[in-house]
Amino acid sequence: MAFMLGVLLAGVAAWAEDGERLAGHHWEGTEYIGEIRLQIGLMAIISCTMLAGYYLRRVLKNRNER
Amino acid sequence: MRDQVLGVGSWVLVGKGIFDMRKIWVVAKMSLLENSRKQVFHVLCLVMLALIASSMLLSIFTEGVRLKILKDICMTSILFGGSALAIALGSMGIPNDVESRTIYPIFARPISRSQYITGKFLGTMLTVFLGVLAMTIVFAALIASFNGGFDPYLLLAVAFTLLEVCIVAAIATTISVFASPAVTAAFTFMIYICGTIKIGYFGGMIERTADGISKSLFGVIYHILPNLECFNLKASLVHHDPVPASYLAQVAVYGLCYSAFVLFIGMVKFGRREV
Repeated sequence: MAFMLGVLLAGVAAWAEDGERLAGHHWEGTEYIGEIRLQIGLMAIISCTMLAGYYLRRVLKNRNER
Repeated sequence: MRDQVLGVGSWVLVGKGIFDMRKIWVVAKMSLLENSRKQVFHVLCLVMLALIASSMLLSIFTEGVRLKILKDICMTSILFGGSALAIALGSMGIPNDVESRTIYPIFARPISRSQYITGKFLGTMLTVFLGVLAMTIVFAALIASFNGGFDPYLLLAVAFTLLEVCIVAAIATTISVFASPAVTAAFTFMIYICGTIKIGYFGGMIERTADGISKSLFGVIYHILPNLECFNLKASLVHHDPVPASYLAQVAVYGLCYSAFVLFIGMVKFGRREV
């Protein structure tokens, strides 16, 4: 749904590939490795937030039961 | 507090709780047997093996070019075959168990939902591994017949292809928790295609998008999609270009983390679902 909305709102100029930016092997540029590091960081943040939320809920539940 | 931490540590180390490998292995073995009897597994493996073997017919090209095209075709076949297997088997496993009610006797045993999801995923991956192994053996034999020896770059390229397939299987398993097999297969295939062209196409697309809302929507999709192209070491195998070890290590960690994260979401979703 987000993709469809994005496409509908985007200008026509969005439909073009930038070949020069990605010339050479993917392990030589910074685009791929940068995105990998960012995604690992995002996953770590989301996982920690979910675990912290779960732990807090458990603590609150235990306290209420007491 | 210290005792609690030590308790959790030993609980994980001795293989109890959600990481109880014995219980996960029971589900994985059952899933492997079930998957290996499916027609789609046999048909896909045979088609890909035939495609790899037919690369021998590339006699119109000169010696050096022939080997490069052979490697290119075979690696594409392994990647496509592995991904198609992961999508087909991963999308059918859980919905079929729910529909045929075979899931009830499983949950009647002391197997948690998280262990069931992990076992199903492991079973799918083992089946895909068997298929990819058969393709790799034929491919290695073809290279040896042309080259006169074993190509060590082949193992690296196939190992990273398997990591890519691992992400695809994890996505298929997670989506199949709340969707039908057809929807799961279609959606996973879309994610696979979008993940492959992510940096090359979506990156440029976001930069060129003028509208602010559109740009942020594309940005969200861009960072959620898996970065599948980074697992493609076909160029390294074809041209024998060395890949930095630090890059390989980071990509391997990324593949494992992404698969685990997607499965974790599937476990959370399945834990809340009425079966």
